[in-house]
Amino acid sequence: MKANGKRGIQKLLTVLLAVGVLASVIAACSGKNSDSNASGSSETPKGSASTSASASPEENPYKEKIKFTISSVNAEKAGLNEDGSPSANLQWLQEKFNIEFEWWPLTWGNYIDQTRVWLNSDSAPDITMLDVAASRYSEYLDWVEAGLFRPYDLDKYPNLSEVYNKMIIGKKYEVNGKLYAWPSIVDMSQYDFVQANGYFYRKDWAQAVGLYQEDEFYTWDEWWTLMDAVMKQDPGKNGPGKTIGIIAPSDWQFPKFITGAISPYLLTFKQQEDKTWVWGPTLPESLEAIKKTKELYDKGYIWRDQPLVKPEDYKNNFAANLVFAVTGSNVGVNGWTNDFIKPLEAANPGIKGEEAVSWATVTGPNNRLTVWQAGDTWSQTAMNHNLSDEKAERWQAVLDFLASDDGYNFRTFGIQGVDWDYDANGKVQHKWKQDENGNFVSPYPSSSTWPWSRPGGNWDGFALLNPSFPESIRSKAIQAYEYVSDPSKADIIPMNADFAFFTSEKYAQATAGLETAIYQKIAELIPSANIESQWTAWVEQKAKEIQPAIDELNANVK
Amino acid sequence: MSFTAPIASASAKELKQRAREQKRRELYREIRRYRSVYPLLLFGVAFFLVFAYYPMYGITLAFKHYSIGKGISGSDWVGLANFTKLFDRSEFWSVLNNTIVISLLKTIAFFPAPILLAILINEVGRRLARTLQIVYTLPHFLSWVTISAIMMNLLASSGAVNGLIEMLGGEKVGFLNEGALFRFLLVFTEIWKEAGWSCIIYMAAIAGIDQSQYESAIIDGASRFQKAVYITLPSLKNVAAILLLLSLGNVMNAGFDQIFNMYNPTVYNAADILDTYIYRISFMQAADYGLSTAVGLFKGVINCALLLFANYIAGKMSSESKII
Amino acid sequence: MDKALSRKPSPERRRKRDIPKMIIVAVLTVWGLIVFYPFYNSVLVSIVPMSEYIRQPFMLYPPELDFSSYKFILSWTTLSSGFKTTLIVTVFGVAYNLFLTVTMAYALAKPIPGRRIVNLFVVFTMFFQGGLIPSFLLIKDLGLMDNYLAMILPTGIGIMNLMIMRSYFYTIPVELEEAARLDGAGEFTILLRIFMPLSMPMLATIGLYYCVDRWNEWFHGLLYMRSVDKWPLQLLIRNMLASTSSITNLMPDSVKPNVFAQGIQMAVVIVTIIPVAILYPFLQKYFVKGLTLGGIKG
Repeated sequence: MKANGKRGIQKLLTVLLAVGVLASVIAACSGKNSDSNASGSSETPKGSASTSASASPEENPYKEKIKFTISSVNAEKAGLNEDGSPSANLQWLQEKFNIEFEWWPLTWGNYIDQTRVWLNSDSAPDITMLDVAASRYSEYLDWVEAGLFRPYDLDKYPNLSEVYNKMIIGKKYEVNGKLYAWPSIVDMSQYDFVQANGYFYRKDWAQAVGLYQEDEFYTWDEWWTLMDAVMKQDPGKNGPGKTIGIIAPSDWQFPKFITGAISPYLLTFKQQEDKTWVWGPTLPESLEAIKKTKELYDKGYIWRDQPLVKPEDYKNNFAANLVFAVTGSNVGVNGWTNDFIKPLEAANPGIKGEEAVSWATVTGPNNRLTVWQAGDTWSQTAMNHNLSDEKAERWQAVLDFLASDDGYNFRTFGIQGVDWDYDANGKVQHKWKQDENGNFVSPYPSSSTWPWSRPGGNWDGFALLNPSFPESIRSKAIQAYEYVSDPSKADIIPMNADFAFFTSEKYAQATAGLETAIYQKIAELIPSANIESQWTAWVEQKAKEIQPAIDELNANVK
Repeated sequence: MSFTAPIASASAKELKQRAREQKRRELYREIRRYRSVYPLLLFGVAFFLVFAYYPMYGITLAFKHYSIGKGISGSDWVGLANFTKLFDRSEFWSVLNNTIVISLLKTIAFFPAPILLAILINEVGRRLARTLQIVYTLPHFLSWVTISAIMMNLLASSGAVNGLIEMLGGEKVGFLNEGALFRFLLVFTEIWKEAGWSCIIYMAAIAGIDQSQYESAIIDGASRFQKAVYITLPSLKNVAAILLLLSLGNVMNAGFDQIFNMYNPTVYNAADILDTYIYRISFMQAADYGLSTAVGLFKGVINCALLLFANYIAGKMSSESKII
Repeated sequence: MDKALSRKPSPERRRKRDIPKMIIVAVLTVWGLIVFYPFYNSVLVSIVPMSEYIRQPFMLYPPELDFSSYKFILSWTTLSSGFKTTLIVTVFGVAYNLFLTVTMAYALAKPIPGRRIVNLFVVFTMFFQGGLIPSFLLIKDLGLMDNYLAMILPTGIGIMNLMIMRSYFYTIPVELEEAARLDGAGEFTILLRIFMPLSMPMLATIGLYYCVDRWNEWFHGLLYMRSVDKWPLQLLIRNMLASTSSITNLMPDSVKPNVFAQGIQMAVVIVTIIPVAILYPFLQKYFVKGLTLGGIKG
């Protein structure tokens, strides 16, 4: 009967459903134990063939094609030219090692948070880009302890060992004698690894108000006088109140560029003469620095919206001919060209970028430069703990090449024989096309190359040697580095590696998000009135909370 | 008499038992009667089991110290330590304060807006009313992502409103980076987005009012205003009360989507609410999921208590109004 | 609502100048302008050149037209994949939502034993959730990372919608049911052949509510979607708002210089609003019905 048939279907449905629910609950329960999880790796190792990569030298060690999932910022165009065709250099690399990269793209805005989520839930890719700044070091140690990374085998790879031995800070990523994250070197040893703080500025406007200095070395007073003249005389012809004096590209750079000259330890801890530690904001000069910043903000020299800055604001406003100076924490020739010169020229035909934009080195009120020694590495690359031996060896082989001298040339100049070659004297001869100014034009967009080049090492000294950038700019950049590494002009604060990487549970707890809190607090106070009492109150209360951190420092970092 | 007494005493227990058995039999009968309804229930129940109840073991993190290697189940118990840590943090109290203040501000400010709109719209012609309604309800359908993009562009210091202010000779106003102004902004944009939509409910209620009341009022010479106050408003009382009570149960929420998309560090101290705080602890700092789960649990408990309270009050008003 | 609105003022009234009414109309119009202006501003920002906008951001009409923001947006291929993703999530999501909601509401509308327990079971989840990490792990364990299902399955049942549907089912006369049962129909058939046709307006309404929710969703995409071409629309907008370079970095230099951040942002916003803005006035009456039935009866 029809009715019974329907009832029968219902019964079947019921049973199926119950089974389904039960099954999913069981499946969920068995997946609870995170150790038994397979993580985000894209494929299981092809273990059947080649037993080990250390086969006899005659055999091609790269017989099996291996796919790597790899995360990186701005990876959407990795390996692709502007028209979407594959870039020859990555193709060459992938062919040479018989690999393929599958990119997990991140943005500058989310890369730390997103990577953190992946790692904390053990779903990171095969190769993970890390940015373990000193402030996040304890988190890194937690990850190492949780067994999330596979250690590198430096002994097997001569180039990696060689580069590794050049580093100081890089060694901090070693735990118990094993290196868990390969640090990308920033080779600025010739300048003592000092960070060149300063401003990208409109040199043509400075000339227009008659206060330009050829050596581009300005004292504190000279600089603010220049600023005042530019703001009043408006050489950019923007109309009253439209010109912006200074923009800092990101929230962590404001207000360092001003306070750094007056209270260098504002965002961190200072070790006094007697070896005891104090918290920067409690020092009297910190309040002075903030007051000074507010003074300049109130005078209108600093962009009104600075406390709300978003990542491209500096670029867009600069290109719109509105900005006199943008703070820089390093003279990056790449950024100089691509973030300032090119957009300015494109938006304002008739302006010649190289003649309009330059770099200013500015002293503090004491007419000296206060500069920090920076680390010799930036960013690291880690292998997922569940990589097979074969995959790990392949990756390290790739890395070994990228870190070698040949690899450096490859990353920076392209394919040997095609883009460059050694001449009779062993010097590099570029074969790129040249534009009308005689500058070499690279056939590879940086967005195509950077994601896979970065693990091998950061571009040299901020591209000081890269021929695709004009000589005039590169020489100015070199000049800036010479200023900051010159003891007659600069007070260099040496890197205290022990302090930078010190961590303990109490210290980590007490200082979690501390630096961010400080500059956010400052950003909040600058536009408001009555900052002295607000600052003092906040500092007092915060100082109590972080007292354990100071105790830890006093006890452990001498 | 004598033979009722032994029955009464001897089988008091038996009577109870028999009653219980009868109840059980009735229960089984009911279940059998509706046995083919239960399968339909299972789909929804399965969903809740898998996506709501299964992850609930994560609540235990509120009482544990999370370590990645051990996973949630293996992490160590720390009792109430997370809560102690939480209540010690000054920022927690400020966040809690923000949550309550912003919720209250929103509820109080928002409450009269749709009522007022409904009453006013009621007075104009149909075509105008319909056009107005179409305009008023558009923002409701858009996400806070979209709306915050629009608003932030409008109110940025380089945006249109400040452009107008400057044109009129004034000084730029930091809508997005001054705490008090920002809170005002939150309230205002909430009204801007939802008043038009909420007023539909009230308009429907107004449509249900007996016309004869209005007619007799006209005969008595009542003005527009008097009609609104003495006839319309009182009939909206019930609906308004329910909506108000419902929002009471929502106090701890205060609008994550809106605030998350519009806020920035300069207004954290005024606008950071429990949910955005949880998000920040979970994502933007080194893993302290024990802490963020503790905040979530705290929030859930308070919300639950508030809703029960609201339900109780609603029940007092009329038994139909109960929410649960 | 129509009843109230069709009330016409009596002839004597119409002759006098109705000042209160003029004030009312004025007030309502002003509010209408306030609601409308931000959208208008966004349109303007998206169609003027950068120089004009920087010079004077407050505009009542565009001083000069420049559609490069739109040209730019329309060549941003990720936008179309965003639309595609959101469309997939909406269509399948709503079907899934409705299925769960209707079956559960139907069952709960019957006086079955255990009904109150299930009610409690459901409401409890409104207050207590496991948190981000267990949900994340669950999706991962189910193998749904970077899968569209990760944006659909967790959305399940909206509890308010469930209550509304259930209330509506209460109102369907028992006699219809009894008649069908006498004919030997099973529960599922009754639901399908009797209840659903009768509740079409309600279904449409709840369906539309779910539609709006799915269309505007971004949080699940943020957590679970790894590939950029599987990000839902709102997530793309969000990322773009945070940093326009996430788009401009990927565009050829030839297009880049003419566009400015705010122009692109507003262009994207307008492009994503347009489908919604066009559709919703037609669906107005369903929403109204749903609100009135649900809101008053509670």
